[in-house]
Amino acid sequence: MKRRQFISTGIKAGIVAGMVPVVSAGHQQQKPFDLVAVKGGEPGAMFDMAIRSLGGLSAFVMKGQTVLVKPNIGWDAPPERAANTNAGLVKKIVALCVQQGAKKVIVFDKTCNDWNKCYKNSGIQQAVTSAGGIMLPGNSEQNYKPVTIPGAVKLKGVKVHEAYISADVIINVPVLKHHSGTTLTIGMKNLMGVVWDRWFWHEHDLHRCIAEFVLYRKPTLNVVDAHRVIMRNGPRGVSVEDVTEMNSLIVSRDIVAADAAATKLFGKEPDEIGHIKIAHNLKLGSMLLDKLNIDRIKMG
Amino acid sequence: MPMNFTRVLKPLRITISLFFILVITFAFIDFRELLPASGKQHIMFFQFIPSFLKFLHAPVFIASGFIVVLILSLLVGRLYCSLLCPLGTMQDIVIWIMKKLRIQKIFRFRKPYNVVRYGILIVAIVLFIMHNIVLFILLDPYSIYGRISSNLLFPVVLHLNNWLSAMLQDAGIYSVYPVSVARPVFFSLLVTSAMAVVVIWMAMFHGRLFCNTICPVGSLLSRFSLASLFQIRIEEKKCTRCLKCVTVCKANCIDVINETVDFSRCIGCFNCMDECAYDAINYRNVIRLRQISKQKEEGRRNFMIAFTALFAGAPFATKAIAGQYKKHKSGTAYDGMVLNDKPHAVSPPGSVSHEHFNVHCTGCHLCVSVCPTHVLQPSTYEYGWQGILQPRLDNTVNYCSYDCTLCSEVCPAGAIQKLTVEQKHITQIGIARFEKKNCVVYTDETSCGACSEHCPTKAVNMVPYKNDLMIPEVTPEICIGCGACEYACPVDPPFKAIYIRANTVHQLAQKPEIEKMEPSGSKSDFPF
Repeated sequence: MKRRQFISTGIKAGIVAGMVPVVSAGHQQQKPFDLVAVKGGEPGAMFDMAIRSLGGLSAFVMKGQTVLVKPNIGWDAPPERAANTNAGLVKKIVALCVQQGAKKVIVFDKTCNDWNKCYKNSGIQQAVTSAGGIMLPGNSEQNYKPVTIPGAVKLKGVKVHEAYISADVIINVPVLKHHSGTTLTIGMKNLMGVVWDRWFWHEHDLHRCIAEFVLYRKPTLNVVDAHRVIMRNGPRGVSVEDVTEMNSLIVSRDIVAADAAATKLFGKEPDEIGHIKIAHNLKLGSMLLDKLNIDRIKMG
Repeated sequence: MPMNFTRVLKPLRITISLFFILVITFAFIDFRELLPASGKQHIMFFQFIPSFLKFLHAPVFIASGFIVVLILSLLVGRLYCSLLCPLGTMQDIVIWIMKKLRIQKIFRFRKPYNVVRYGILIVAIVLFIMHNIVLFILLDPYSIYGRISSNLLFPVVLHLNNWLSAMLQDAGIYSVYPVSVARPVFFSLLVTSAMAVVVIWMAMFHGRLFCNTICPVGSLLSRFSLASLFQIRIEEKKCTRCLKCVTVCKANCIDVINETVDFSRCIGCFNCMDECAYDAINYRNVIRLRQISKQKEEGRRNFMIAFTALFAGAPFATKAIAGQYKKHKSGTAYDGMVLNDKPHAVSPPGSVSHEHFNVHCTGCHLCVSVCPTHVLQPSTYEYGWQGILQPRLDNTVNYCSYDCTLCSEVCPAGAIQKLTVEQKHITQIGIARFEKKNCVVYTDETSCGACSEHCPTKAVNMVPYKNDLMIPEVTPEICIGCGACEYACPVDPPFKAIYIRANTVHQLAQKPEIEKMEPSGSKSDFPF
């Protein structure tokens, strides 16, 4: 049974993988995009555009796979404060994964505020369950397993949520925000929400730890929500006055490139952000946007 | 009174008492917040000492439960002890189990320990007048029961939940989620366990001896009982001296030889009336009986003294218990780092001041149970000895949620006053102090900012330091002392780089200034 399942999955994967270049080739003949940036639509619709440009979600998620969607749900704040990832965007991604035939679509975050309140008041719990995903609590140490990080200097070992360890596909869905500790929080910083002990990171060169954690496992896809953006008083924000509308979305397989592009959107340079520079130097991705093949889409 | 009426009293008593102990217990272990917080406060309406202390501060209807109990006592005796007091019902359950196990089956008449019981009551009242409620904290039966629920039962319930949750998660069911369990506070656990052992042991072998010897509420109500209009009496003509009533009397207060009932110790369980086949023991209107005994005269006099003392003391009770707080040896350098200097405990938002809180909180730990982050922890000596077991904010455990007002909604004693979310946002329970020499930005010259990140008002803000580094800076006026910064600070206690110094009198914080966001020139192009 298991072997048969394996073979059938393999065949389907093969077909899907084979189809992608065909579709793209018919569309426009050029090498695949490294990064897609979209502007001017609703988050869900912008994701639709972006993922189409990357060959559809089928290029990332296959039938029967377990998918982890990791938004930022760190704070007990209503959606308009933009302290958490846009719920509509998360809903769209979860729904597409379910539609794609994913066995399980898991969503969780190790929140900073009381997790129940964060899940509820961000609107993400409702969005995920209505789209057919599973909200896992991230507050229990028993779910975090120790892993070692090859090549790390500071963050040699860390306890990681088992969902991050075992998922077949990881879709990282951060929200772009100002951050008092790291200037900005985007994709790499969002992954702090899958480990148990964050104090250690703060104590042992925060920027380096953030970059080195990517050495453990890179997300399959990074989707940066820059629909509404906290420009100051981040990452929690004090009021809606800290938020500005950018109506943008950035999608890339390359977490460093996604963070670099989002940094530019915010109005800063990628090499101003410690962990982006370190990750670039560790060759975890590229922050040199000029050298990347970028699809820029403007909607409406 | 007709025979069938007396037969109904015992089952009625059992039903009411079970109802109260169940809802009270549930209020303490309701970690999924199924009951509304204000409902939890109303469930405790009749709890004598919390209600009395609350009434002293705000004489309003919702604080009048103790008056109902007093009136009840003046009509039919200490029904509080059998119907409303959860510790009383807990003892009844122990007694019932002992009977079922055939270990302790019958009771007999015993003499009261008047010196002990009124001694404790008088000391408690004298201390109370001196603005010290430590004996209420230790001996109030509701608060003892609350601590048993909160310190002993609650962790067991939480661990059971987590065990169940782990099993169900393996089966792919996620509706039972794991919850965090706070590490126990040794002193509180010790006192609670010791008290539980004493109460249960007494109930196992001596019936309601605790209620009639140690409990200050029992002793106070006993004086009211003696003045009660209806009292349980033996009718000589009907009594056959079969002693059946004596064998079921948990209070050991029926003396058939002398045909008297020590009504001061009767806790109103109605077992005797239920047991008597001849209707020889029943409520009587004592005025009509015109049997005003010498004992009763004395009783009334004593009660008047106690009553006067109680209310004479009331106005003074709100005065300060200033000083006497444990002080750390501050400023001791260790590895170039500075020891945190916390001279006072941080009291919960809504507790007004230590002065108010220390004379109102009986340490029932209902707030400790409902606190979603577990930042509220029983104190040991942090408030001084007169405030033992009263809850304080322990920011090494967690911090106070910005939008949460649960503790203020449940407090049955008025020790924590009700706050709206808006009031909570500007209630300053302490102020963050930044200790630069402990900060990783200073010691390691690496980025951190965990404190500022968690700060809900941005009273802790990051300002330029050196080499592009940012370092925390505190704006005290807008700090509310929630302790999020202290909790998030990665440096180990007692060397936290930022920590809360308590306001012994809570202050009003300023609201954070909210500047309009200047509209960013809508860039239609991508900056890359």
